[in-house]
Amino acid sequence: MLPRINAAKVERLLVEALRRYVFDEAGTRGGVVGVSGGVDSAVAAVLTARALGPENTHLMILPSAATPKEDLEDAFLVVEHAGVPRENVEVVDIEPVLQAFDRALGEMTPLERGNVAARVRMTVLHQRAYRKRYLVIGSGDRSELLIGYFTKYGDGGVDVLPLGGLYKTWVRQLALHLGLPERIALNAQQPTLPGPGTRRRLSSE
Amino acid sequence: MSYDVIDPVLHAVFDLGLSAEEAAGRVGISISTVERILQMHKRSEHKRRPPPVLNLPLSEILEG
Repeated sequence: MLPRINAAKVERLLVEALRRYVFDEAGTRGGVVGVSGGVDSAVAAVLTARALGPENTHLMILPSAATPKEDLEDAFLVVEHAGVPRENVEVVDIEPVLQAFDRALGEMTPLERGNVAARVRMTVLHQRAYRKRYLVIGSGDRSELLIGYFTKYGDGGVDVLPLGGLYKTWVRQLALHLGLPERIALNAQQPTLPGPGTRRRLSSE
Repeated sequence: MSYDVIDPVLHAVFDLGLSAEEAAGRVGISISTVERILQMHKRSEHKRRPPPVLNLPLSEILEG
């Protein structure tokens, strides 16, 4: 029903295209990727390291109080797999920033707070990208983009979307091809409509 | 809803150009499920576009 991709070919083409875009077209020196522990950011991180070189790849893990412990563990697994030098990995707890928003704006619903969290992460990633003259490499896939399952100016607020042409199913296939662990590649994260039970990814207006 | 359902529907509609009905038939699911996915796409259209600039003709807004 959904044809399979030639993962080796997709890897090669995306690595070439990302390298060309970041270095030649944008004239920048590398890429910043936010790593959540999910399959999309795992593939984005590994591809970025292969395309731009591990030394030009900056990986950021940005948990809040709502981040499940397993996701954090998976994020560290991804960082290890991407093979970037230790000094290119940063863990920043964004919970104090979110609490500042709580104080300024009053109590937020989990969905509202999730959208603010996505935009705080976006701001953090761009700060580091600006400092290093890097681009922010996004993780969104074609499925999420087509159904609007992302936060506008949050995880949508990136400079380039290398996986934007691949359905989630294909990103999973690519993840396995790249040697990422099955628990990350096949992680059954599902798009939930806003409401109770919305856990790790939220959509916004 | 799982991407095992969503992805074949998106592929049928956006890559193969099938109608909602044809997509439902091809994927083997109800048309209402296909319509729900297409509704998500339609309602998120504004998120895939840069913010529109609401240009006003200068002749209308300048004084004198």
